[in-house]
Amino acid sequence: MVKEYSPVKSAITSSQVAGELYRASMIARQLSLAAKNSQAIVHRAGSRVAGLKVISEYFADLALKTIKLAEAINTISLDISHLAVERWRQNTLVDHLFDSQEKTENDDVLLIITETRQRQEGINNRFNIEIRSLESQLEEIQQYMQASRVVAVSFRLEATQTDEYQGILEDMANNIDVFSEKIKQHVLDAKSYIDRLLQS
Amino acid sequence: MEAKLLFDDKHQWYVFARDPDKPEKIIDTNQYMVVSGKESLVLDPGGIEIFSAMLSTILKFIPLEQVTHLFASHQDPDIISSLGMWDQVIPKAKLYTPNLWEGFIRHFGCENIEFCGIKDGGGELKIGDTTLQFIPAHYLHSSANFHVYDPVAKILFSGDIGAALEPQDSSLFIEDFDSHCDKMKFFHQRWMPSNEAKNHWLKRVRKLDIDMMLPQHGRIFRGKEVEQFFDWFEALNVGVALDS
Ligand SMILES: [Fe+2]
Ligand SMILES: [Fe+2]
Repeated sequence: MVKEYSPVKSAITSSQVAGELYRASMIARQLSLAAKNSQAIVHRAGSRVAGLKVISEYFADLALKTIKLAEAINTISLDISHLAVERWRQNTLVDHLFDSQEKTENDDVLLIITETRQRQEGINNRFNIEIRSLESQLEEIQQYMQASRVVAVSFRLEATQTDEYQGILEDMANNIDVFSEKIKQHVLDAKSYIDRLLQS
Repeated sequence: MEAKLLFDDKHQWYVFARDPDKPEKIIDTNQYMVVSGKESLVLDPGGIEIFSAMLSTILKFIPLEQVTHLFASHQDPDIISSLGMWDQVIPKAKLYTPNLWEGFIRHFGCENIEFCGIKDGGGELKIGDTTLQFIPAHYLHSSANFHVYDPVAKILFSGDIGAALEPQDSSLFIEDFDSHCDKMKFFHQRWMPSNEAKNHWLKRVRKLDIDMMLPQHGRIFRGKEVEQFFDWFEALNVGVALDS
């Protein structure tokens, strides 16, 4: 038998995850703006920051992927919260059916209970699968954020080798660090909401 | 579900609407939220079918502990049939709704949330540092019915008054008042039962200073559209089913 988490807690958890990922995707947009700026600088500086061309392209790509993934997770968590509410309603129905069966001892009601139970199990299985895939996507977005910290390191390194663009590149590196850290924090919060549910 | 900040000063007003996942035959509804400090009021939280979308949308802006108050303008299912779910998600919250409807609204499930009945004359409610007023709108369309006025934001939440039946993807704001009237006409003529109640309400709300009027269906009225609506509504003969 697959574990069944409290539908009330599940609905709250998935909504909380959706909220965190919404905020993360807002910051990812700022990250993407930073990436575009970095490309502009690389373009302007030409051969003076040659080492940055590849890394800034990589960064732009990473930022876009982050936005997409954050939005995808947001959508999945909305689906999960729909499923949780659906399960919640089915549970309530089963409780009422048991009540009614006790009062009437009617076998027809038993049949409805069995059918509802089956539907419930189906929804529960889907729920469990979705929540696992949510976990692995959160994992993935964390890896993106680690990669973006590496980008910041390269920017800093390159900054020490140019005079003219030193300040801009350092600022950019700091920005990337700040945005990545914020996104990571929202992802960690989302993960801890899920952990709390899975341990309940 | 679309979310938009309507007013942003020391306190905030949000609108949540146009849920793309809502089943097709369910009437589209606008939900609103006032946030002030660590408290908030969700106005006409909506039907059970949009509960999960509402919960997720609210949590984009505030944590669950700060969802402290609910308001239901009247008893209709599109307004408050989600109560049984909120009751378990925010058990410490308070529900403000017409006192007359208590025995009926409790059918949606209200074991934990505190039921706070508003008396016929209306009243006030403090959310954080913001004081909101309950404006009587009885018989429009429901026998016991309230609107919410915020004198600082100059916003009137007007429940089913000002409602329009619109396609799912329509704008949140009125673009052309005259053509918008066509979308409001049947709704008001058929759902609003009494010209006397209508005029009573008009007399009351015309005294208020209003920048924005927020209906539970359709589009938001801004600036002079509010006064235009009052004039249009005044001239409209309602309660028409009696003639059919
Ligand atoms: Fe209504
Ligand atoms: Fe309504």
